Amino acid sequence: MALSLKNLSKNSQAALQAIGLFLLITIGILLIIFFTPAVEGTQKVQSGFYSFSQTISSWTADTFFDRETLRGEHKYYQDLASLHTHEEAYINELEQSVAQLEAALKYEETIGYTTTIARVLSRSINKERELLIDKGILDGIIVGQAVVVGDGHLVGEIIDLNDRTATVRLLQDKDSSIAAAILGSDKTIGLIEGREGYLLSMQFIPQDERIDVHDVAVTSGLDELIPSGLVIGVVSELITNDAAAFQEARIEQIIQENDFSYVTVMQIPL
Amino acid sequence: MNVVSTVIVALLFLVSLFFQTTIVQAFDIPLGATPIHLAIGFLLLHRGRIELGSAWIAITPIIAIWVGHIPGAWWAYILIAITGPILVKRIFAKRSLLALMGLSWSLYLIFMIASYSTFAEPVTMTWIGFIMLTISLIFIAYLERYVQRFSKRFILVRRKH
Repeated sequence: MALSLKNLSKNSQAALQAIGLFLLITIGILLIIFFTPAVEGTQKVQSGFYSFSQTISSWTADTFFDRETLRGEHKYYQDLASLHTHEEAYINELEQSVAQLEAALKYEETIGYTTTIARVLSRSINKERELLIDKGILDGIIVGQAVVVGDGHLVGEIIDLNDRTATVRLLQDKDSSIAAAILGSDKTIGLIEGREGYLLSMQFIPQDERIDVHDVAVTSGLDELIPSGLVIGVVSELITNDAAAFQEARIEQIIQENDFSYVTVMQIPL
Repeated sequence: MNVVSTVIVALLFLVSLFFQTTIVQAFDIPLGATPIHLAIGFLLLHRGRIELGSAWIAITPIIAIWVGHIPGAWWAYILIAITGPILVKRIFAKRSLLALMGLSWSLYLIFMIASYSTFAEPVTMTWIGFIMLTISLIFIAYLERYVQRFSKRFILVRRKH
């Protein structure tokens, strides 16, 4: 009995030593690669791998799309193209107005913020639709800043920070909520919230507000750190109920989370 | 020798976590839902050293803060890190592929239920993960057997009598 107890304690001692050594080495390596200048290299390698996998993933999706999806997409882009023609005329009209109003609105204020380009290191696949990017507190990023891709397509906002990394909550996340307006309208008409899947939902649209399918939803600027005019998506469906106090619209994002490996963080000063 | 193997396990841990968060999860579902890091942890728990397998699973959510995002609730990992060694010793002690499958399915089921209870995971996602876990386990178990044979033949230096 005494011998077996002795053996047991010897075994547990060896196990504890192994666990201790394992933790020591893992945390040691982690400290070296994330808290020394080596972090640059690590993040470069990590984002390189992410970018490579994301390219393969997009290529696979493009190559092996089923016929129905392709047909649906074809129709969707045809509609978008026809919408584009109408929009061109509308944009011309707007451009003239903007040129006149530019001075009065102190246009420099709307572009008076800096931007930071960040690489995507990882993305979550669970319910919390999030991205990890390689810029953090040391780069001047703060919680609440807007994250865009391309020429101003909003994809999410910063929700969590480390020294050299930041977590971006994507618009599809169920906790995401952004004040929105319809392009051409100068007032906030709803909140865009995340839903499971790729569609977003625009809530709290007043019943008297006129919205059409293919209207473009943009940020309204009501959120403190998110500038106005960032494209969120296109209205794909309207859900109206006369008995309800508000209308609802489904918004389809033009850029999907798999389409990019670089993002831009908009640093609006507080 | 124990120190060497612990160092190798620690390196494998970081590589596999990077692989999971950066490469695997960049793909769409179902490939993106493959819990490859967890599968290696189960294999280590069953075929390798129990204490390291348990530590592997337990520290995953902590280390993932720096490396990337991982699926599931953090305490679901702790829960399976505690129940894992008990299941290996009491029920799935046999070193067969079926026992490995039994252990992994049981632990993943606990993981799924724990994650459901906090609504951390969509239901369909975890079931896809379950299927992908099975496929990756078969692959990893065969790979392990191959690596073992290779190392016995080429790496181990046999003592001359």
